[in-house]
Amino acid sequence: MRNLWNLITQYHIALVFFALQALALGWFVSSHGYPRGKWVKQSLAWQGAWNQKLGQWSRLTELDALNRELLTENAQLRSLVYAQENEGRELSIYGAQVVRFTWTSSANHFILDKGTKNGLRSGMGVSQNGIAVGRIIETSDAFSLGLPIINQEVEWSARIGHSGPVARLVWNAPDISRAQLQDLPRSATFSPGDSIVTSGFQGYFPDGLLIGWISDETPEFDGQFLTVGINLAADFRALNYVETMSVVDWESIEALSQSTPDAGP
Amino acid sequence: MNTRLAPYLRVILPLILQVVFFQYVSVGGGWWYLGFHLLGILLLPLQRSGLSILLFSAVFGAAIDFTCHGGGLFMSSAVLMGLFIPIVNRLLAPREGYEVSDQPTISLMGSRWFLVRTFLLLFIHNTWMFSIEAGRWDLLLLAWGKATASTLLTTVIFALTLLLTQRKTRSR
Repeated sequence: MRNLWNLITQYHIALVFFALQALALGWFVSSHGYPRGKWVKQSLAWQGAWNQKLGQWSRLTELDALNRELLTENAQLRSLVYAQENEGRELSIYGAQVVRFTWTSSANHFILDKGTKNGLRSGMGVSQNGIAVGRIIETSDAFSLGLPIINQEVEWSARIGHSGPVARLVWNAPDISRAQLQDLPRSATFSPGDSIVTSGFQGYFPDGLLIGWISDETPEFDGQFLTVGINLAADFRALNYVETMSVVDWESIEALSQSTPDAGP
Repeated sequence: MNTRLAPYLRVILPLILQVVFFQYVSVGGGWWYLGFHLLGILLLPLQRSGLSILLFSAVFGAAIDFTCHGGGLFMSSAVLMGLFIPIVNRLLAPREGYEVSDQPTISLMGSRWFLVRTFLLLFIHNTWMFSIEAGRWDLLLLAWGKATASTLLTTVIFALTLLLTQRKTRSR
């Protein structure tokens, strides 16, 4: 026992170091490289309030207020247009402002100045001028935390054109203007410049929202599948006013999906 | 300034500045990460025990993780740097050792001592941080490039900060 105590006192710094590293790396690994959990809500509330203050100081003209009005109006109009074009299926769209955005890391994130009290919730898609940008993963009362397409921890469901095949869209750091469409069938026909749009399968976005265009790189063959380079449409360095959206009847679709015989418990 | 409060302010102020302002600084497309809170850790008194430096580093790193959504990344890097602080201090110690009144500043220890120590410790911190953050083997070289660039620039900024804010006293 005495020997054990002597060993501990002799190597106490190394022991504390390994304990702290285990704590920090455990935290990092458990969050899969991007923040989530209870502490994020608290942090989001504090940081969001501070970010908004910083933003207020930097707003020197009334242009900002005008932009907000236009954003809200634009969101309402988009909802109406979507409902008309999709035989009454509704889409809730809310305007929000990006108060923080990181684009230099491989696990980027953004914070919006709207939260649950404004109708936002996790799982909503985020777009800018009709271009898919990311999705919300956590909300506090007044702020929301989201992951952009340029986060290599997340995957997106995308389609070539409005009736082409569906594939996985992933971002490989560090170029923020390019992504890859993976698991595309070899039989798929496409050309450089063809548009890539959301499939609507994940429920974050409605179908048909622009993500980018097929680049002129040569596709890579991977067994029965193809990997194709994509030029992303969104300018992630210039994100400011965005729209958050959710397909109103998505819960009914999910419920139906769960009730199929193949669905698990 | 009250001389009793000065050492505490010197350590805490960089952390506050990092949380409130410098976390928003993004220069050179991610090639320069300015971790201003690290200046607070670097300015911990030379007489501090290795254990207390480790604990201070962990708290500082966790505070940055909490406010910048780092998910443990900054804590892990700061703890690694904290482990190496006493080792680097011993490596750079003058022949007669450190005096009780010595502080890890340019004005007391000289610019060469400060620059070498700061560069070595920041390099350890940044290399670890960018490597973990890269998350893929093929991004490691890019990460190390960013770590080197960030270390060089941050060392210069820390030296300038101390030169501008500290009174001129004897240099060893």
